[in-house]
Amino acid sequence: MTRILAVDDSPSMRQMVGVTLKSAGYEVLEACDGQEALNLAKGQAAVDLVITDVNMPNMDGITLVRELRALPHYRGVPLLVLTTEASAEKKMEGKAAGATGWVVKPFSPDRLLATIARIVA
Amino acid sequence: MPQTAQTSEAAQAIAAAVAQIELAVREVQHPVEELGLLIDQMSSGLGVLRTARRRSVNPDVVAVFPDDLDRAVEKLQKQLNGSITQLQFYDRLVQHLKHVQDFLSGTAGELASRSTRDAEQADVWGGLREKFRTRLITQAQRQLLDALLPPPEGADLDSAQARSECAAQGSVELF
Repeated sequence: MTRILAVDDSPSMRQMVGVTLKSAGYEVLEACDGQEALNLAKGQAAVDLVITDVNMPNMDGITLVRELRALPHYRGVPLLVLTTEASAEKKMEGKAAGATGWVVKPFSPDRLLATIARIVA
Repeated sequence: MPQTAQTSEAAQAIAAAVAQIELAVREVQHPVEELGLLIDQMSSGLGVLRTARRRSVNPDVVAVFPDDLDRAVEKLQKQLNGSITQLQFYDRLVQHLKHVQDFLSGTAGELASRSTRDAEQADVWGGLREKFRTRLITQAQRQLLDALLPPPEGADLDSAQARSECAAQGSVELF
């Protein structure tokens, strides 16, 4: 089963992402900020995709993407940013850090699932 | 009223407003969590309905000849997806209010300390404003701040940028 790590400091956002992913049959792991996600990743948690918010306490999403890309077992894992940030500068920052894609909140479940299916296929 | 007393009163008024915002957010948190749970349960229920249908009828037949039940399930799924999208605006509201709260708290703190000293620190206000602006999450929010509390160099109000950002909501870009 495809396993996805959803990272967001907002419990309601994690819940909505979780409901969306589980409805499509994905297994969902959750982390409440970049640091917790990185700890999970360093603890060898194997996932097929990471979906992360940008603005979070302790460690933001862009830093998380950069840190994950530095881990040998995460080099090939798709990292999708899901954020309210829509500015071209932030997107470029995410791309430079190693993000696979950028989705602007509020997300549409159908579009998010179609994007994920494309990425993890 | 002496200047320092006025400043102190203003700091207290702002602190009171901050506490009210915090209470409002806290009061709505549990109902929203319940709403999220209900959405989760409805989603699971739809999954059960689909699985049961697949057990009794070939999925290829359902895809070509959907009956009333299949159509109702698909309609409910669309409505549920709409609920998921709309509920995310609550998250945005809470984030926005948190930043406003932090800005007001910083302002109240600065006013309170000013009431006991006379030193002029104009850069403190600029710093508070800039920190608040950086944490705002949309261009529309930043432009509203710029319009009402312009930076010393003047505001660059580009409504087209805010409109374009609004249009980007829900957009997907793969690199």
